[in-house]
Amino acid sequence: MTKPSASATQVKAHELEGHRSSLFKYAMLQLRDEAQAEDAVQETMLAAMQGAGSFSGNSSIRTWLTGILKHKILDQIRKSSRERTSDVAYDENSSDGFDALFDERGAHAEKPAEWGNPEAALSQKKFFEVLERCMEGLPKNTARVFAMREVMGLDTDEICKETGISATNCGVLLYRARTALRLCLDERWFGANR
Amino acid sequence: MSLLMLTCKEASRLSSEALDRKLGVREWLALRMHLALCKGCTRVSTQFQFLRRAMSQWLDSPVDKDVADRG
Repeated sequence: MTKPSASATQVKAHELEGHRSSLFKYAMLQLRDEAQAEDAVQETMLAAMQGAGSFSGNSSIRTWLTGILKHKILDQIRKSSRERTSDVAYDENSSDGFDALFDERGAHAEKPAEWGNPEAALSQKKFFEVLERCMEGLPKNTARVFAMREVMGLDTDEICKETGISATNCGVLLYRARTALRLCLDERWFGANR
Repeated sequence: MSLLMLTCKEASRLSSEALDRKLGVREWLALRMHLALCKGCTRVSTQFQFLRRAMSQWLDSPVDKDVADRG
């Protein structure tokens, strides 16, 4: 039996702590609940310390930790999805002004604006701060489904299974999330100097 | 929906769906045809795709790098 030496584990623990805030941010994005996010991160840290020897070094520590965290977040989502059916209905039925985007014939009420070269934004710290503010503005379940899709990279079948939302409703929530984020970024970033 | 003549509302929705599932041939063609003629929907579609790239980089965004550096 070989065990990692005490000193190796300590180095690992110190390294892990440096990632705590970004793991928390990641968990908050999907869980929208500080206590649940804290729990998921804490469990991730514990699992990481116990499994420190299993870190292969082939991926970055962040990637490894995020992989563990994904499972902890899904556990939390499963745990709470049993109590959440009414929330989902609320997200779907909330009148969010999207209908005003189109006229009665289904055409754009106002032509969507050009974003120029949006790739340039991806190298700017400030842009991601704005993107995060925009995500915080999404209704809880809309944000959760969107994050499961775009951050965790789950496909819609997996999202349906984990959340108990039907494929159609999942499509509606993803569309709403994308539309709301598009409008938010247009207002706060790309159109800010228009 | 009439697949020959999509409204902008339907085309926007399909542009989102296209990021989550493989569209049927008729849906795909109808969307292509609409986008070829409609600048507004082309922008919507491009912006949805950009959102995907932004989200995939969010975890390694400059904000996070700073946090990791400090840690």
